[in-house]
Amino acid sequence: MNVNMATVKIFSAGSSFQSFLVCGSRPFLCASQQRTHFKNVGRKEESIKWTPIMDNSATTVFWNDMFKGFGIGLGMMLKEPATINYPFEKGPLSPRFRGEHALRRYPSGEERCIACKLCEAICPAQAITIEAEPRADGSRRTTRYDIDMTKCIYCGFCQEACPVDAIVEGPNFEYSTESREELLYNKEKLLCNGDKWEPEIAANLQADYLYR
Amino acid sequence: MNGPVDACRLLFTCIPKYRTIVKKRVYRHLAVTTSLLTRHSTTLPASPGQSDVAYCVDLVRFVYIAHNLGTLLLPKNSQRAAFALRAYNVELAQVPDSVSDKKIGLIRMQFWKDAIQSIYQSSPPKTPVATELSGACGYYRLSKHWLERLVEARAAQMERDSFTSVKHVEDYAEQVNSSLYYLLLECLGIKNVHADHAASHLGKAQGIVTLLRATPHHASRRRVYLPMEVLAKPLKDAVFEVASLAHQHLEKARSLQKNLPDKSHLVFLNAHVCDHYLKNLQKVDFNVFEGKLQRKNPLLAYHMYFNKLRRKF
Repeated sequence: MNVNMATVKIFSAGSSFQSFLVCGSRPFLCASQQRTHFKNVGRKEESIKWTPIMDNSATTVFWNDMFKGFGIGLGMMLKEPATINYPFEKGPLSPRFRGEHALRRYPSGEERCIACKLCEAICPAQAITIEAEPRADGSRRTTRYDIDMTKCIYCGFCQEACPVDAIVEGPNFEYSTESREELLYNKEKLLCNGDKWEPEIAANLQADYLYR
Repeated sequence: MNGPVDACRLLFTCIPKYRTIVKKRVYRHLAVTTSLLTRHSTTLPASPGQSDVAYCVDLVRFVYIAHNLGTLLLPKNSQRAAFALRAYNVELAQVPDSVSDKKIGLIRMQFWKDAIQSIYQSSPPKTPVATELSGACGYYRLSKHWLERLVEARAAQMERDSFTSVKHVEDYAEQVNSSLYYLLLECLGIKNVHADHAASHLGKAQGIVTLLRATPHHASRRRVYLPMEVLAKPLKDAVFEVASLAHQHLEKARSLQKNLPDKSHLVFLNAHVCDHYLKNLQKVDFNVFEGKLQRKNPLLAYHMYFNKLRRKF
């Protein structure tokens, strides 16, 4: 056996052409037994050249990322957009949102404010100015009700202090002006705001149940 | 079953045909009594006084349905005053929930204290509730101290902001709810020691029930108003203790029924709300956070109307 193996080794040490000739003619020329079905059971040797390594990994990474990217794109297409078309669409507002001020009226059309001046007293920024005098029918009403919107800090204390729910901070937040003077609100402007926003204000103030 | 009327009630509410008949009758009754009082708020008032009444009715109706029904079942001539009193109560009751700071609430309470003073000097502030209240006070000669007691009890409670003992809850409930019952009895012209006694107990029961029913609402606002002395126990035991006290007061008030003068049961028809809540509480094993307890009672109007017919509460 050892002699045979040694013979094969000697043959294979020759040049490739020679070994081809030998292999081809071996069945006819050699009397000894030949073994050609060798199996390599060790670790397969990988090519250590850079080109195939780069090619393989680049292909794998490229297609992986392509499919991930398509997945994200599809997911985003099916997702609800995070943005709104602002001036035409508005975001949700809490019923307790404190925006632009308004003076409300009773359903009969009479103004609610009875000039008790509690809002003027409670206002931490001293933004409210009230002057009042009795009317011909004996009821006390304001003759002047000014709010300096540039002083106001939107704490909502005026609304909380009002015993007749007259002054409220409504849901409107879009009242930017071009000049400072336009932000000095008077009674007419406040009552006008009240008339404009009454449905929203009334809905926000609606308490559905009494728990006390 | 308490007798033939109860059987009838059961029959009526079970059979759809009769249910619609009863419903029609109840609504006809309610419609007749409200036709003069309620109007659609967009139409202009015939007179300034009318709009004040409508405002008070709307306030009571939107805020507390049981009080609204209770007032509608009173005799027609005292309904206007009753709505004024209930609206006054609603105004006061809404204060603690609508302010973020105790001081602001106390300022509003002071406004109402001053308003009561000026009502009795016949120069009420020109708000619908104060105007109506002033009219009622002038017509029925309502006692000033009950009106003052209503606002002072609530102001004092706002200042303390908790209950130390069950006794404390009872006192508060008596001051707030029973004062209103005494005033309503005055509106009906009833001056009777038994009626006052029943009002006292029913007021306590109602106050305690309101406290229990509001517990989830208060908890959502991170507040606890159950009396501190019972809070050492597990919640169910604490609720059981407070609820059984309410039950005792309710039963005591009911036991006085036979001595009551005519018509005084009309003032106490709201007792059904307490009864219904306490029974439901027992059914859910005194778990106040059970969602079932917060549901409105769809048969409330029928029960109150039948109680009116039965002369019971």
